[in-house]
Amino acid sequence: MKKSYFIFASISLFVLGTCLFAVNSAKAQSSTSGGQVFSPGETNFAMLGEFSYGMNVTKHNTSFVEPDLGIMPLYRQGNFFFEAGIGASFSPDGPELGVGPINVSYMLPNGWLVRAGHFDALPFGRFPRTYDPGWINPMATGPAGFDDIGGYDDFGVQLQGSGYLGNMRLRTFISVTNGPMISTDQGSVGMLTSGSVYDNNKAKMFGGRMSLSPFQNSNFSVGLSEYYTGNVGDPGTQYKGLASNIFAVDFNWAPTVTSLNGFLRLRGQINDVHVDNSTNNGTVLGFKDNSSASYGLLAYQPSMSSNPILQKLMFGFMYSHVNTPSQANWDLASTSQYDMGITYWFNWRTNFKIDYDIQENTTNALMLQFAMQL
Amino acid sequence: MKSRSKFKLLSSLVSLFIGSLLLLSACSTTNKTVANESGAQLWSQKCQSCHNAPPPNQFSPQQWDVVIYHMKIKANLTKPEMDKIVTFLKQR
Repeated sequence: MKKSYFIFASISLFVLGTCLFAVNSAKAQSSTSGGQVFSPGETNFAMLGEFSYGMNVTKHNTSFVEPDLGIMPLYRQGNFFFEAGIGASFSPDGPELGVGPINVSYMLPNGWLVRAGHFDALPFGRFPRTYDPGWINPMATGPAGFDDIGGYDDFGVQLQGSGYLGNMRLRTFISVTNGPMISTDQGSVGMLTSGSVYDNNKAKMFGGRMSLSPFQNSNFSVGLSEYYTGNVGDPGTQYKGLASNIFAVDFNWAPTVTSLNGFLRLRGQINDVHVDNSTNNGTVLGFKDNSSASYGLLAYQPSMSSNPILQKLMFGFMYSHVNTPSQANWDLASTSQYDMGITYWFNWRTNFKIDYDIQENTTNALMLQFAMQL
Repeated sequence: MKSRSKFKLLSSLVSLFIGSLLLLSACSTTNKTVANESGAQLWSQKCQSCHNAPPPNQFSPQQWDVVIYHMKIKANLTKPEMDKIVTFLKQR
């Protein structure tokens, strides 16, 4: 049922976008036939995407991992902008095709954007939204726990704007979305899940992200994200009325350091998720439902080295930690993860990585990955 | 008691975001620093903060018009930053 709703909504939005494109094209053609000047720059199209593929080697096995493919058609018609995402992946049940994001944006005269549709990752920190693709991430894997604690996709509307306070840059996202639902599945009872095509209750999630770049001539930025919803449970169930509050703090800095003949990438983020464990009718979860995930990354590329091979190498280290309620018996257990790797850049958007991954209570792995932006 | 704390939290959140909206409204859309920065400088600084900066010849001028919009969304670029960067990329 959920799947059919999702497909219907996806197709509807796609048809809407196509109609807008057709109407706009027809207008352009009629203006030509009317003897007016044809404006070829009014409607533009581009296709972006990403691809990655790799291999994991552990003490017990050596396995090629599933290829990851994402294609994103983009349309711009004046101040309207439409983006869609189509992803292909493989599961034990066979190949799967996924859709998302699908959304439309309108740019206001002051540069603010109003957006509506499906967002593949909310502005909750920056990792899932920005740094996750293999052609951007200096490591062959993401931080521990970020898929479950922080990588929220959702349906709704969003307002984003940016401006200057003196010499500081301020950037803000504000959104209203369906909001997450509480999981009742074995192995994840109490965990928040997102991305359902319909809302399970009337409560919406409200929040956003604000970031500040305080220094002139520097790309250093620090951001705060917070989202709140008054109900993550289904009506008529014991979970009805459980509120949730999710919070993240993040920073990013990529300075060029001439004394090191190159540049650094320093990134970090802390996600904190809190779900009430009781309603007005009493305790419904037998544990304090607080979880968190965090990471810090340092990468260095001697891009100004005189050695042509060395200038294309990037050396990276990432530490990440996920903390889940010990009494919850989630499949996702608390753990720490350490990753050390070397990336070779064929060009600005194509790379090959070799990482060594150490994770508590898991066999260490050597990860090889090829990634490119399409 | 519980509903009161929930109300307080919700009120503080609403205040925070109305405040941020007002703050953003009070923000200037232009800035002396940006006015003095070239499109090439902004292209290098903004792109490099997340990923390697793409050479201008990677896309046609028409494609840059679309890609810059995508990047405005991703990086929340200001309008002057967006305009200067795309002008630089299209002129190369």
